[in-house]
Amino acid sequence: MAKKKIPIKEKVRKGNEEYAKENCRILAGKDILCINLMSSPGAGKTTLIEVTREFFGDDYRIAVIEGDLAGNIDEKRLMKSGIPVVQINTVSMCHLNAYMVNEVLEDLPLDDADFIFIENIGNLVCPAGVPLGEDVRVVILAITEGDDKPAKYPVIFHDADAVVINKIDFLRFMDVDVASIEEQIKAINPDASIFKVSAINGDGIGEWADWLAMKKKEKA
Amino acid sequence: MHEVTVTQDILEKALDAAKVNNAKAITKIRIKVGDFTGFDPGCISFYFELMAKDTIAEGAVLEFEKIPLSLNCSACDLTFTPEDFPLSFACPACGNTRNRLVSGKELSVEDMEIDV
Repeated sequence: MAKKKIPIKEKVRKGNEEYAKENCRILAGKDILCINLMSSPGAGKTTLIEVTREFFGDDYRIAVIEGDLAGNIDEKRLMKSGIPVVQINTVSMCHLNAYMVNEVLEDLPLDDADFIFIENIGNLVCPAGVPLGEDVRVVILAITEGDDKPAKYPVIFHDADAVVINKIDFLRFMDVDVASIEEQIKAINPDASIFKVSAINGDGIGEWADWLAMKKKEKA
Repeated sequence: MHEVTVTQDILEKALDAAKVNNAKAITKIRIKVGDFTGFDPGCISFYFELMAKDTIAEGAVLEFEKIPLSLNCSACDLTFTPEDFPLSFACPACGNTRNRLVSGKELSVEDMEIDV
């Protein structure tokens, strides 16, 4: 038996990149801004989607792809508000990938939507390196998670176009240094837009919604 | 956990290349992994051992070339690897923070050794 060395020189996850490009292609020309929404579990992704929709009113239409390991709690919740939504269950997988998104993307009313939110699996680690074909990447961080998360999870914050610091209404109950959170983000990603919001009482939602509208205009 | 899909991809690439080259066994696979990918070589090796069982890649050694995170300063052109923690992308020479990522995001199968 002879030994032989063979070159491969191939990027791992090339398959995902190809599906991400395909998703981009499907959305190109539809005048839709696609947002990959990432956070740890319970940071307020679904609530932010609901309140953003409320803020937009009749100005913009949104549709949602929901990612969860199990069940369709969020799908049912968003359907109640009349938001077109499809649910993906990853069973054991810790992030969505572009193939999963590709399989459901055209189930959404793409000709009647201005924004598509892809609510990723709640996780600050795994979704970071997996593009889905989105136009912008947004990380939500609730102040109830503490003020050290950007330093501890740098990859996901480095790649974000915007960071939404949520549950700002809890500041009166907590000893959290919001300025430090912002400094940690800026240290690795000085161009990220940062919004301080309360998805529950609506504080800061206007600035966040204006940013989305601006990004949509930039894409068009 | 997220190394599962990446490992699957590595194994598939190796088995595809093995087939084309009529390999009887895959003995070594060389992988480049950037420090800023969040992928742990130990984790990839662990999953690989499980997944490669009963394939011609069973028992193959995974050799990792770790690529450091490095940045190039857009103001003074210094290329540097930032301090590990807390991570700051600011240039140690001039303090500029708008810097280009030069390396650290790699993940590729470079080559492999086979028995033919």
